[in-house]
Amino acid sequence: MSGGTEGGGDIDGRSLETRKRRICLSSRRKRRENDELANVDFCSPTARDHSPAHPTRPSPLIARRTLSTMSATLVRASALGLGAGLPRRKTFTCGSDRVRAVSGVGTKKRTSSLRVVAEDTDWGRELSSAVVRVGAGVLMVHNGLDKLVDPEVRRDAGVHEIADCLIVTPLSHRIVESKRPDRQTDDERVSFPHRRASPSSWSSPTWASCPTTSPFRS
Amino acid sequence: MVEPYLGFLPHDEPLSFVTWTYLAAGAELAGAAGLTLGLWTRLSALSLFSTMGAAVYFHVAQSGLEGFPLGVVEKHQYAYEPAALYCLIYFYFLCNGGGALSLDNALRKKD
Repeated sequence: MSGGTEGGGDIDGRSLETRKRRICLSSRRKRRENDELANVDFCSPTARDHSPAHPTRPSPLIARRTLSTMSATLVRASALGLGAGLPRRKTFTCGSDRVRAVSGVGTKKRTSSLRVVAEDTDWGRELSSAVVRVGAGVLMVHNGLDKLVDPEVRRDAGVHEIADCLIVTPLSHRIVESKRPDRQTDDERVSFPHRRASPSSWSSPTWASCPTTSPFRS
Repeated sequence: MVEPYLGFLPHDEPLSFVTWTYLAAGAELAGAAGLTLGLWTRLSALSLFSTMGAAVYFHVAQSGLEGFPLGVVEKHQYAYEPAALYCLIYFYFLCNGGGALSLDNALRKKD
């Protein structure tokens, strides 16, 4: 009886130990999966120490390492929460001998290690980038229209430009050719008094009423 | 603007300084449309970056650096400041591309 009890006690102790080990391993695995910023080298000796193949032994070294990892994770998570812009990135490194089956490259030509980087899409960054892009694009339209309206033809330029000035009205998209104000005859000034306006007002919509002819007269 | 400050641009027939102005206007309109939609973002950003670069050059040639970076100016901003800001924005999109929310990305995914 007593022997049976002792034996049962041994079995219970062993199963308890096994269960404890399993829980410990699964929690470690979960922690590793959940740690978004983990930069784990699965082939490094450090990673091997954490691998499930080795039994868990509570030691001051492991406890210290766990504590430092936890604090580092906390700092990183806080920085992420504060919007410090740290990329949510996972990097995996592995010796190329582990990927022999898929590489198809000879051992000599193959690089010694393979590094895979995976990153979550940061929608905040993408959205803000799109807003800046659209804003900068829309705000530039008037600049292009302004150049079309007032191409700033030199007043004392060559024969072609002296005679005429090209004016485009952005609303009607009509290109209007007209005489320069300082070259108008008195009759024209009487009939078109608004043409006395300064050159800066050439782009005024009133000029849209000028007779439309070919804009690119040579 | 083009002739006095950007006189180094080729202006022999069939080109003229007015042609350059119209080319800049076309680049600004087409580039603005492309950038807004996110279509050919890098090319659009390059065209806008070049026109804004010319604008910065024009303003700096016209009014100088105005005591940049510590100079306090009467108009509360440097003459070249908006153009320089645009220039930097377009440089960002030139390097970075349109991002996930752009037509470029949608078309790439389709392929």
